This record gives sequence, C-alpha cells and structure tokens, in this order.
Amino acid sequence: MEFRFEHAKTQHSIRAERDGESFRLRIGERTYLVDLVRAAGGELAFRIGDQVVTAHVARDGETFHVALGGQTFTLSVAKPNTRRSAAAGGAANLNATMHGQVVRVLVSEGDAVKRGQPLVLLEAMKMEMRVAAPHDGRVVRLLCSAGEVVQRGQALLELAED
Amino acid sequence: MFKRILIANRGEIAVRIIRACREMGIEAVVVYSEADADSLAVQLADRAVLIGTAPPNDSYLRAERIVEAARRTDCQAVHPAFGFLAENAAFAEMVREAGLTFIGPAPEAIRAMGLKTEALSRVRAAGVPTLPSYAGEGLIADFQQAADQLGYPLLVKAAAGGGGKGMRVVRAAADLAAALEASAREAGKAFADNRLFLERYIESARHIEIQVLADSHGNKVHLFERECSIQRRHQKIIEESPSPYLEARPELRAAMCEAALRAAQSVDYTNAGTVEFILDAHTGEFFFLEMNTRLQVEHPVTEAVTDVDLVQMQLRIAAGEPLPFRQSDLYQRGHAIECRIYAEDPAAGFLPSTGDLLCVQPPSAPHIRVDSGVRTGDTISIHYDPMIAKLIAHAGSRAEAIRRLDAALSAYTILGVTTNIAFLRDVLAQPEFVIGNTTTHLVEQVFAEWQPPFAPLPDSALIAAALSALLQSSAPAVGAAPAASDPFSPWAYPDNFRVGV
Repeated sequence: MEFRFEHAKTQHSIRAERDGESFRLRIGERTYLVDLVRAAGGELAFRIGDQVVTAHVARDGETFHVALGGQTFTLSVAKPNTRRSAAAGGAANLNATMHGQVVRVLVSEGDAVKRGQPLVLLEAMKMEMRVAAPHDGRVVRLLCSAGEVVQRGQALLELAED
Repeated sequence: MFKRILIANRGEIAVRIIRACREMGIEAVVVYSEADADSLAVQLADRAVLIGTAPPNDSYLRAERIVEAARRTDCQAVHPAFGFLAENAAFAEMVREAGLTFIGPAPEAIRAMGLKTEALSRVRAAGVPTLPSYAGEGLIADFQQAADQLGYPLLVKAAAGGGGKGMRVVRAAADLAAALEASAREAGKAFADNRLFLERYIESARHIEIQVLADSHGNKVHLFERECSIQRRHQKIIEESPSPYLEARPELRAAMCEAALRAAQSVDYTNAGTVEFILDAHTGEFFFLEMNTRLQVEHPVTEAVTDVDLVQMQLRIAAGEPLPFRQSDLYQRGHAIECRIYAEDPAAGFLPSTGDLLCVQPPSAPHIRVDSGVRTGDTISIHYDPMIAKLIAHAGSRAEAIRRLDAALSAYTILGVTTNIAFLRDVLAQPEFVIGNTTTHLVEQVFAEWQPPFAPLPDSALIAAALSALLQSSAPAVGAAPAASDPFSPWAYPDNFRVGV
C-alpha cells in the first residue's frame, strides 16, 4: 500500500506492507523491516534492527501529527491535483489571525485605507489584537461584524490594492 | 483545620489545590462551568458544583453563585487561587459576610494593594522605593502633559491591573492617545475598571519578586526571590529562583526582602503574597511594582528551593495557625526553573492556538514537576487562559536545572495544538539566558523574528505515520475487538483494528 504525505510543502511517498508479523516499508531506495512493539494510547513504538523508535501519533482528519525525538511533525495526506487558486482582480481577503471575537469593525465598505491602519479589532482570552491593512487600498466588502466569533483564517474583509 | 473547602477556580491551579487538600485530609469542592464539566479538576475533586456557562462572566466571575455553592456544600473556607476573583476585595468581603473564611488576605489589604495609586502611597510611606509615575483620572490632555513631564519611553498600566492586561509601552507622544484608549478598553474588560496610570519605563529591567507569608499572629517571613524577567507580551513565561542577578549580590537581596516585608506590613497583610519589583540592571536600583495579594502562578519554584508548600501554608494561616518556622529557619536550596507551556504560536506573535488536545504525554523524571489541568481529549478554548502546563525542574545548580528542564521539555508530547515548547527550548539555550543575563526585553530583542527550527522529515516519522495509517486501514472488517479500552487512540476509528503482535 502506498501512502503519500505532505510535510513542509514537500511530498513524501512511502510503501508499506505486512510481511508476516512484521511490516516492510520502502522510502525511495531505502527499505526498512519494522516490528511493532506497542500501539496504545496514541503511542506507537516500533523496532528497526536493534533500535526501538517511540513516536506519538494523533490523527485529525487528513492530518497526522507525529511527535518523535522531541520534535513534532505535521503530515497531511497528499492530494495530487490541488493547486491554490489565485485571488482575482487584485482584491484579496484579509483573514483573522486568531480564533476570537470581533470587538469592533473600524472601517466601512468603500473606505480608502492606508498601510498599517487598523481595520478590525479582535479579542480572545482578554487579549486585544488589531488587524491592520497590509497595504494601501480600498475596503471592497465587509465579511464580519462586531460581536461575531471568527475562526483563525476566516475572512474578515475584502481589501483591494490601489 | 478546615474539614472542607471550596476552590473558586479551574485548570491546573484547582488541581494543585486539590492535591494540597488531599495531603492535609481536607475535602475539596470545586465550582465549574459547562465547558469544564469533564475537566481533571472536576474529576479529582470530592464534589463539584456547576455554576454557569463557559464565559467567565457567567461562571468563574459570578461571586454570588460561588458563595452559594460554598454554603450549600457546607464548606468552611474558599480558596480563590489566582485570576478570576482572587484579587477582588468585594468577593473576599462577600465570603467573610457569609460566615466563611477567605483563604487569602483581608479585603482591606486586597483593596489597598489592588488600587495602584493607593498601593504606591502606602508603600512609599513605609519607605519602599517606587517608580516615578502619574495616576490620573483626568482627560487625555492631562495624561499627555504628565507624560511629557515623566519623559518617554513610559508605560501605560491599568490602575486595577495585573498580569500585563491593559499594559502598553509608549515610546513617542504621538502614540499615547491610541495606547490609552486600547488599555482602557482592555482594563475595563479584564477588571471592570478602566482607570489608567503612567510610569517611567526602564530599558534594562529585571523582574524580581519576593514571596512573603504572614500569619494572623503578627509573624511575617519572606521566602526569598523569584526572577521572572523572561516575558512575552508582558506575561511571564520562564521563572526561576534564586535570581542569577541576586546570587552575586546578597546585600541587595536582603534589602529587597526587607522592603517586601515593609510593603506587606503597610497593609497589615496576612496569608501568602508576592511583592513585585522592577530592578534596573545597570544601577542596581529597585522599585516597587505591585503586590499580588494571592498565590502566584510561579509559586512552585519557591516551593522547590525552600521546601515549603505554599498552598498548605495558605490553608494553615487561614485556619488561624501560627507560622511553623521563623525567618532564620528558611533557606534557598539549589536552583529551580519553571516554564509555562502555552497553546500558542510564538512564530505568529504568540497568538493563542485553540483546538483539541489529541495527545498529551507529560514527562516524568527525578526533580521534575508538572502542574497541569488538561489531558488527552480536552479542548483549549477561547474562553480561558491557553496555558497547558507548568513544567518545573529543580537541581543543584542553575546550569543543571536548565539541562534538566530542556530534557523534560523535549519529552513533553502535545499534539493537536501549536505550543511554545520549541520556543522555550530555544530561550533556554540562548547565550544571554544561559549566563543569567536575563532582562524583561530579552524575548522581544532576541526572538522577535523567531521561527521554529526547521527539521527535515526523518524516515522514522514517515514510518510512524504510514504505520498508523496502515493499522487503521488494514483492520479486520468483521469480528474485530472494539478498541473501547483506548478511546483516544488515533486509530480508534469506526474501522477498528487489531494489532498482530
């Protein structure tokens, strides 16, 4: 069975198959014969030769979080034909930088704004955060309102570049 | 001693207090919000009382519901811990009027230290040095005039504040109005009091605080210092005791401890409290910042080096017992460092990272302490502080404590949210930190552009991901044993599997 993962914008392919009680894994030219030592409570321990590797793996939909050797790696199941669509017409969405509540929207649709001008005030855990204009431009459309709870990455407004 | 107390708090500190109660044979009742119904604190407490919905305004800040819960469960005392109502004099009064004991100082002391202007005049009168400042109730123009006299840079702070909420550095007159406005709004939200004040800002500052304990029989002791200079957004992330700066300056330490006791005396303080000072590293001058009339988040480092359990002391003092030791009995043994593990992204302005904790595996080793209120399956929500745990290492020397803490951090597994663990490890390895040259500006000066160290994906990580994917997909379709014993297993999906070992 072949798995394709994406990590740090790079695709990695690995073939994995059962071989009796063991697993045979191939990454490029490298082949590993792996014995499972333990798989419980999110902990996964496996033996490669005389080394036992202990990892913690948690799955969140198409994302695998792997903690190993004091580091955390986030791998997503790679989809071959996904390409980001570019924002059309020079206008782009300005997104929430954190999960929180909109305290105040400081601009109106059609307003001309200067680079660095605060546009939206967000708050989470009693911390206030200004979302400022990344460049001079014009507010095309407001996509949030005061009091609304927004997710990180959610579009707050559409800003056209001058 | 009390038979049963109520803990008016949540998370790791509620768990910490429950543990102290266990050791002392006291029953612990916690209050909780709907969001915390399945929390560790609720699980460990002898009894738990639901007091409202997730937002603190409808639960942990509802004084009347908390006092009612204490009466209904027949508690004799209320422990406020820190945050929420801990420094709310009206709450302390309400507890007292209900015939219960407030585990902390008298409301009068909380009120006097809680209003910065009152606190400053009290401690000044007691001969404790304070920073040049302006406490205004007036218009922005009054603040602007006062600011010009104090000179820039200066700090805008909330009069009722603490914990960095509502605090801002202003470096130029042009930025003052906007800073005042934002601070007033934050202060209003956090403390229901939007009054502000200004004070001189020290560029090369160290944050050093003194722990004090005072009983109701007139005995007062200090438990030496903690240095908390490593901060981000004016919030402490690494704290230690002793302070590397004071280690070489025993007279200065003695002077600061003496000043802290005088500050406590100025408000007839009882119970545990902390006097915070800002120290100018160039001149060695120190100034009173504020007194926190409660237990501190970073109290474990003091516990490690002094061998005193501060929470148990709080309970004994509140129950009317005299302090079981004198000043001359107290000592600092070795070195302890605490770091706060937050669900936040240090590479993106330390923004909180909310989400589900898919896997939490704390380290365990000699002289390592983990204070945490969450475990696998819990959620970091927007309603509360995003701290996941406090990790404390104790060792014979500072260098050993740093190594011990770093090893424990590397063994701390937290999956599902972004944490500051990699960041903390980089701070611990930073040369200025290693030599003890710690100032409150270290993080912003050295780590402003911090990015997580890039680690190429090792084959073993790829193998781990592939194996867990394979174990899920190759599960026997029929007759498989349900993985009910392991509900949080990442491979406990509808297609249960059985490992062929």
